[in-house]
Amino acid sequence: MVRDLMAGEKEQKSSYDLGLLFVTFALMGIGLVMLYSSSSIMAQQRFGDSMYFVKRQILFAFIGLVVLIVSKNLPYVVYRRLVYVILGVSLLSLLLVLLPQIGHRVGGARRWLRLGPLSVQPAEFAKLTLIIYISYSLAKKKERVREFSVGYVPHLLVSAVFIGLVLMQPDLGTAVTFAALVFLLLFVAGVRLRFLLATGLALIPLLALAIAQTSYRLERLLAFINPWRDPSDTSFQLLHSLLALGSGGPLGVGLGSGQQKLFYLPEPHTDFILAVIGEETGMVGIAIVLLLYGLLIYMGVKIALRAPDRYGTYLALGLTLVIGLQALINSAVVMGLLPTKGLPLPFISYGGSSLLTNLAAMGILMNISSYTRRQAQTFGFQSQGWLDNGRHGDKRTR
Amino acid sequence: MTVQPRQNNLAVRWIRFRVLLVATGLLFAFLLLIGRSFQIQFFQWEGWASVANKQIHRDFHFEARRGEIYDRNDQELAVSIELESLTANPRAIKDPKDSAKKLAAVVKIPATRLGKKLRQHRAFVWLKHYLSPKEADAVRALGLEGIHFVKEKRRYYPNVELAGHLLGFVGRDHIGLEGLEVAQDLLLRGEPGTQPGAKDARGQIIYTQGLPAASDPQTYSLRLTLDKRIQYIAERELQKTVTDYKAKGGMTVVTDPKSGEILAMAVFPSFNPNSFSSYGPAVWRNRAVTDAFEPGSTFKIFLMAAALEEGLVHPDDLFYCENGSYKVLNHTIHDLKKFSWLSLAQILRFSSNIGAAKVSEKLGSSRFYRYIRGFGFGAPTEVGLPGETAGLIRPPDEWTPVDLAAAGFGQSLSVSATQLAVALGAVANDGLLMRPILIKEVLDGQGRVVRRNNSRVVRRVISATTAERLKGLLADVLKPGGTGARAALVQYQAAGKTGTAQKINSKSGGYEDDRYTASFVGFAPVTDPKILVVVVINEPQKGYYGGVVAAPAFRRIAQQTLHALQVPPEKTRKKGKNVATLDSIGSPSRSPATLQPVAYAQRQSNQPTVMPDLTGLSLRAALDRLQNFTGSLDIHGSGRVVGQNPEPGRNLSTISSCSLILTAD
Repeated sequence: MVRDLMAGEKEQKSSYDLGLLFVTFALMGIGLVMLYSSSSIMAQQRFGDSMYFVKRQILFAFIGLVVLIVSKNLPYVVYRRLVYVILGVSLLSLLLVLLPQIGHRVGGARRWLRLGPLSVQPAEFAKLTLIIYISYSLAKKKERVREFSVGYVPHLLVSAVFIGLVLMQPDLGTAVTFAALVFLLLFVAGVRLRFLLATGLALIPLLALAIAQTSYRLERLLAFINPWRDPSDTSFQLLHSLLALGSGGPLGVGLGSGQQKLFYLPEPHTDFILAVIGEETGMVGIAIVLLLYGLLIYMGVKIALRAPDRYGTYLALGLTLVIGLQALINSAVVMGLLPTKGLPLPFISYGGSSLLTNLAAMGILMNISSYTRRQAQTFGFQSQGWLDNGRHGDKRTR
Repeated sequence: MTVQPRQNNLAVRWIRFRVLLVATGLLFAFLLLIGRSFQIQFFQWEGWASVANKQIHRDFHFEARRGEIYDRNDQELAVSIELESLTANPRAIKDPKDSAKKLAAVVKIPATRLGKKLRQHRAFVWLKHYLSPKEADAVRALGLEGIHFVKEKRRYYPNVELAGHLLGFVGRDHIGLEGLEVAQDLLLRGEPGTQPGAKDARGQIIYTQGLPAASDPQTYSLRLTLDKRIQYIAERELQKTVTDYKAKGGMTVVTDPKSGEILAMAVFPSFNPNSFSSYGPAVWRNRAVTDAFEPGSTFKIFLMAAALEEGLVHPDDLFYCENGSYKVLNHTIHDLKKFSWLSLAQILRFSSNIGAAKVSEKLGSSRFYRYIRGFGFGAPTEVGLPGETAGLIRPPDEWTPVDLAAAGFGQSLSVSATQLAVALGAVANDGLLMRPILIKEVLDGQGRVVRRNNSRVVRRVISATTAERLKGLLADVLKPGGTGARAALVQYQAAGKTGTAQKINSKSGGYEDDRYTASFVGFAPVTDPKILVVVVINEPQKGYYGGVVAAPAFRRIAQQTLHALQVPPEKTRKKGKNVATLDSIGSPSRSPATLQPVAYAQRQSNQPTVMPDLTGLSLRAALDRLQNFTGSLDIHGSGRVVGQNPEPGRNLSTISSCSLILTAD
């Protein structure tokens, strides 16, 4: 009986892992190809090496795979035990990056910490930290999360510190991602909706202030409302993003033949890489990328639902959301549905810190996935999934 | 870990419910994105694509190479060349001081100025435009880091001053500024070629494959009626005359009177169009077309033409010449010598102003005016050069009796040298006035003739009979005793007329006693005119009679031109006192392909018998020094002599061939 269970478990576990692994590699593969296509001309001009960005991304991919293997084999409870250490380190790094002597400034934003030849973005790693902390805290408090002072205030305060530090860089995109993540996790854990809605309402004037304070944010917002307002300047990005997508058509102009990347589209290899994908591979390419993210979210949500404990559920959901939300927001920006923000497309955009963070998230997710069966009898609430399609009905505890 | 199944289960179910709620939200968001992608990439596809195409695709235009200008024998007069210019990337230069010092020695720019440029924090600086090939090679030999060459187009006039006024020049932007270069600017610029292509946001050109073939740029070149040899002869003799008589300047026009083709047009002082900016607009003027002057006695030709054509006079008719002083109203007309009775022929031969005034009075204002206009005066000749003057011929009802009398000997009106040439052409051409032609043919890039300017008769001015009679009268002018005796040719019979006009003081409006325009107009051979020469010398200081100053210039130009054109001699005249020997006048050039100065007997004696050092000389000067050399001559390049073989000092009689290497300044 136990052996049978174990056998069934293993099969189940490995199939989940393979699915996540497939999606991860597929997205990274697409990412490297499109990174080369979108950055080679610019890299050739700027660095005299058309493979400049691709080489660095491959290096990060290898480091990231090691991180993935480690985090997949590290029981996810480890993070719960070290939660305050992780939290402390992350906050410290977010503080350090703000110091002019340490933080590395690129294009008006102080986002990078130099570590030898590489620079890392503390905000990327802080995403994981925040998820771990919120998951741990919500799981610990169980039903008491419904209480204002227990379930709401502490999480709000910690998140506010994170968001505040990120905003000071400034990095509105990451801050918005943080807020959305925390909001959704608190909602799932059962924090009263009216607290959350009230917070949301209270944040609107703050957001307006943040936008009004920085001229480029206002410009971006205005550009979003009317992209043709000033096609030479701020709405340039959005307009050229739409031009890229639109001229791609259903099937694209062909890999490598895109034209908007020829210095028309700013940041074609980072924030607007989806526009290059859309131009060169068309609607089909966009659909495939979106489908892969959809698959990833589907599998992530499934892992969350089958996680052996609440901590696992929240953690899995948080990790799924961090990738899913970024993919959504980035795509929405590229398609002109949201105002421009500096957010990368997970696994695809150029950026070492982002790739490492996302691969670590995948590793942790796979680790949680490996517990779903093994701990089935111990914890009472897995495998009851609405998502199970009857194959595993015999294993349900109810 | 304890399990609280029931309570837990309820809470857990709610958690799962909310997880699914979030998942559903995400699903909707993804559906929305798919829908948006469909909207942009399917429904709006063509709209976006056309905007993107408009933004990126451009037709690129390529300027055609500026067309060449050739003489009638395909000798290059103006060419477009590519020269290397010196540039540097100061960032790549480690030791600017050392580099500047080395470069300075080669390109002849002070090291301090070069050093300043090389120390700038820039990636690109110009050091020197248009290096000579020699300089470029020398710089290359230095092997300096960060020093580069850029090819730049340049208009180049290989014959330096030759026909400079006629050709004009172009500015840095390759747009014609003077002369033919501006008159035919649009044609010479050619048609730009187009190439559909794409451009990136930085404006860099990207060619995309599979685009339809480009239309090639089309270059058009000009083949002029000008003959480089004759132009050279005209310029040299003009310069000699102006210098010898210490004149302010001069001009000469040589034409083929039957076709109206202009064979040479020279103005002195000349200028070098390769370095036009070191001269001024006053020097650039092609005065042979832009400047009008009072022609003086040469105009008597047209008076006689009119009077003969009208049948008012006969060559043998006698006119009383008032013993040198004839009063018209309050104005007295003088003759150089006192004449009593002169025939019409003698009036021309001795150039009597009083006689001309009397013929003029007989003809009357309106008839004379009609002929004057008939000969083309008072209107531009439309020779096709910029700034052409119409001259000044006032309408006859404004003429006073003094004006009428003065018009008979070419005062009180003004004409250009080109107009004189065209008008006299009608006399030489049996009474038919020909349209002057300067551009014989227009050639395309492959050298095919795309347009040809054929000879065109403008009108008949006088009958062939009148023309024949007048030619005879004009031939007499050159006979011994005539005012034009010094214009007589060897082996050919020429016809012509001298002119000496007092210049008008621009302030007082009266004539001046010490400023003259000396001129001679004529053609040869009389029986079958092949060439027509107008020589106008402005304010000669040593002597001022047209017969003294301009007639010898006519003789030398006409004689050499007839030889150059290999016009068969009419007769072999016994050498008279006044007639120069063939040797002293000149011989045709040795080779039609090279500029070959004609030897002067008197100068030959001064010529070196050993190979002279020719370095630094112009081709013209170098060939002058090589007149005693009889072997074959190889000339490479153009401009100034930079190399010669054999070296100076060898005995000329031992050398069978000599080569000269020339390069542009």
